[in-house]
Amino acid sequence: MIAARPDHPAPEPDDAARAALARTWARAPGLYGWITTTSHKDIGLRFVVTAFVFLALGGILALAMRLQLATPQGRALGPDAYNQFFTTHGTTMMFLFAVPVMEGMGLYLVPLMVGTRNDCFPLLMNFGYYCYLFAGLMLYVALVLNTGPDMGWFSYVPLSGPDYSPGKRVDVWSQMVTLVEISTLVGAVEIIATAFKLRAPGMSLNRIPLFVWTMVVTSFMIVFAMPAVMLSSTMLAADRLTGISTHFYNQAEGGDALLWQHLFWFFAHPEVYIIFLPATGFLATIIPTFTRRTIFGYPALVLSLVATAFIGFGVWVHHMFATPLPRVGQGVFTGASLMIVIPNGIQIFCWVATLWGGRIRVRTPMLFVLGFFAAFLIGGLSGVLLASVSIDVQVHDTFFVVAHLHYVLIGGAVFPLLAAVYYWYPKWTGRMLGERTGWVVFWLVFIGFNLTFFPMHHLGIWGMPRRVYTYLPEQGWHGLNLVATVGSWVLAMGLLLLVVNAWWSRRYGEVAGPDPWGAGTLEWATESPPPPYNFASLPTVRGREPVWEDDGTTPVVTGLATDTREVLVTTLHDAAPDHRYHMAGDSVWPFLAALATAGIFVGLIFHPAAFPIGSVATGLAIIGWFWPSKEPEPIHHEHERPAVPDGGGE
Amino acid sequence: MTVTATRPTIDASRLPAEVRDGRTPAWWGNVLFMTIETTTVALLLASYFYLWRNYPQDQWPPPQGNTDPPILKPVPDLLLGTVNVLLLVATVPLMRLVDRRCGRQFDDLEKLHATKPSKAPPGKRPPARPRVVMYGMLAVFALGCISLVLRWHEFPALNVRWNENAYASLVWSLLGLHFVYIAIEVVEIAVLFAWAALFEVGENQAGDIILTAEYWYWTVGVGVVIYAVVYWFPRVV
Repeated sequence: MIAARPDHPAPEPDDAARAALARTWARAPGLYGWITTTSHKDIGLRFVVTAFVFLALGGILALAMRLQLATPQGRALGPDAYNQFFTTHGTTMMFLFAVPVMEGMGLYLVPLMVGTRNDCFPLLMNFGYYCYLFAGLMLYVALVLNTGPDMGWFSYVPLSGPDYSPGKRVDVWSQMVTLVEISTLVGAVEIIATAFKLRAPGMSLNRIPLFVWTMVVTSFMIVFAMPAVMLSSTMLAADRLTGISTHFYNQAEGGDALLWQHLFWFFAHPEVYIIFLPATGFLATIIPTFTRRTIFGYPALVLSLVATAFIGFGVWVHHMFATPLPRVGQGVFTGASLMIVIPNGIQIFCWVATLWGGRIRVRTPMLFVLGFFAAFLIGGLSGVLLASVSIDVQVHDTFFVVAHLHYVLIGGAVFPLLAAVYYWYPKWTGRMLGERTGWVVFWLVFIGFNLTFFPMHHLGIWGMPRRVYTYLPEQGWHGLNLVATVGSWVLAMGLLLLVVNAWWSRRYGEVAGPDPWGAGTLEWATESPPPPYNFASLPTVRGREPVWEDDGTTPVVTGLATDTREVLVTTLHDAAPDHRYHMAGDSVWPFLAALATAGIFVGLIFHPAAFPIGSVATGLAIIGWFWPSKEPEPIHHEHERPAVPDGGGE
Repeated sequence: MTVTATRPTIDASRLPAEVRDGRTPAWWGNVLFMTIETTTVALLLASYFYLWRNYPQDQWPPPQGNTDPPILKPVPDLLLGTVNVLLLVATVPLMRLVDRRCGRQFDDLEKLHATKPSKAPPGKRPPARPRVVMYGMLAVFALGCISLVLRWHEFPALNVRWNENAYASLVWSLLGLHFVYIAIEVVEIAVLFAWAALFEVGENQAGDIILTAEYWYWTVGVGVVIYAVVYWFPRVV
């Protein structure tokens, strides 16, 4: 590492330098700038906001379903609409809300937390966003046209195969899934490379903020899990497409319906952790801030994350206990499913140990964290029950499973996410969300959530199957169903209040200042909202909570260009300064490439020729993207020839 | 972090602007995309073996009863596939030459930038377009095109149409996926060649050619594995 020079005090970056940086890093004005922006703050927030729009849409579908089930033989929805609604609801929540919202948080926060100016591959990020948006539009346009998928969000064959699902509904699903996963995959690459190479000098592996660690581990899971669903849904589409008609899943021609289940759950179980791990990152960030102490057991937490990721790939078969599996297989996967409780338990105990004896300041974010503990505990416990084959077979495909998965996903991911929204909203907008409104939101959400989903445990044990559009009065399920429906409306009121509050606070909220919570990670070391260049001088760090540890003598980085988009690259292990990296400027090509890519997938719903035609169009857009522009080359200063950096394996 | 007059500084202006290989973010991006593609290929191969286990195992590939006479073991013809895989392997040393020459070009340019231009030893400026790089890329491009043509003719040599049974769907997918990989690489090499021909083999181009070469090695390696499974596995079981 280049030694800091205490004899060369930093010149205050004057207004001129800041203005130059702002000019360099700001996006172009107008609609063109809005489309072509490559700022991680623009795109990260856009991911989050878009994901919340899809949450609202998926939520409206859920409310409609609850309305239908409120009374026996309800008449709000017919069976066909009900099928489309629950499939689109599940697909939206898993593919268009939960994963993208976490990735958006990562894209926004990782560069700030590691102390750099943008994510590694800005144009790729822009491309990823549009793939996501187009995939979401595809699903909802289809739903409006009465072509919404109707076979359940995990699209089991043979039901979803050509024989039992004629028409285009399943094709819409399989193509939009592949398209949205392209977005997820490029986001994962983005986050790993940023966290590995663009960290502030001094932020060695053992000082990386825990949220960044969770995003890195999550991204690696995405890299290994998402290809499975892209492959399996492409195979499904090929089986269904007239003129192609392959037989991957066609039992009559040597295919296998269980192959679908294996490939799908090989993706979809890790997916649960892909959603849950970033949420643990929120917790590990928020808890230290509101207890005013560093997190307990940092190495144990990081190792638990990695262990969860590994074990998470060895449990997918527990979704298939109701299929004819070999005995040994059942045993192994039961064992693995129980084992994953261990690293998650370690995490929970580390958080509890941090809370224990700390002076807890219960502000809204912290309130949601406490709500998480209650909700996730119930979801975790019903999960332990479901890991046992004998219980699982009994409650398979009943509302017990619906209760479990909503406790895990809402309790485990949405509560931390809402905590994160309250926590980072001031960073995004420069203003606070209302504290008193926050408490109201919390209690509405918490009560509504429990009212909606707790009774479903009982309904499941009483035998109510999931995915039925109605039931008879004699079955005795109406009381609890009505409770659940009332609960869903309370939950919706809570979320609506949050949206109203967020809208209002953007303009009228209390001004936040750079660090309203007195937190320790680097995103709080710059203004709220951060300027386009994030930091006037790139920071360096000496510990895990750089803002707390800074006594005014932590060095800063100088000497980076202000007239081109230049950032500092550091070494993988020790984050020693290594070289200057010139980032690409904004461009319209990624948008065009995403448009062409979406064209392939929309076209493939109808005709195989869309693949060659769309590929040529996408290829041309990508060539345009990578073709060198007339932008000035980075200035080659006369430089010291650096020694080969430490950890030679890099 | 607010900048105060007392803060020490780390001056980044004297760090190089161009480095290559594992030190760059681009290298990591490349490796991660290769990992994604490797997972895809591995899962497709896993599907192949999964479905194989569903058949009576001496009947792989599944017999074809709709031909006269029926073919009991319709294994793919070896000739074209073998020629193609040998051709692909033969491109590796060629690509390696290009790759190494680009590495040297990169280092030479970087060394030049490390000294003041006025102090640079005269006549030492590396050539704008090293011949090994240009001719080597052209050769790999040509061989890649031939490989695509061969692959196109490999499909009928599989002796089964993709929509006859699940085995057929899988072998067509394996070869088809690899066809797409080769096609992408060939286009990439063509674009890089054009870029180098129009401008020069500067640090940017040299770095990109090195990354493309790495993806090419990966493509060839995957091709060898797919060849072994598609052409030899049915023969040895």
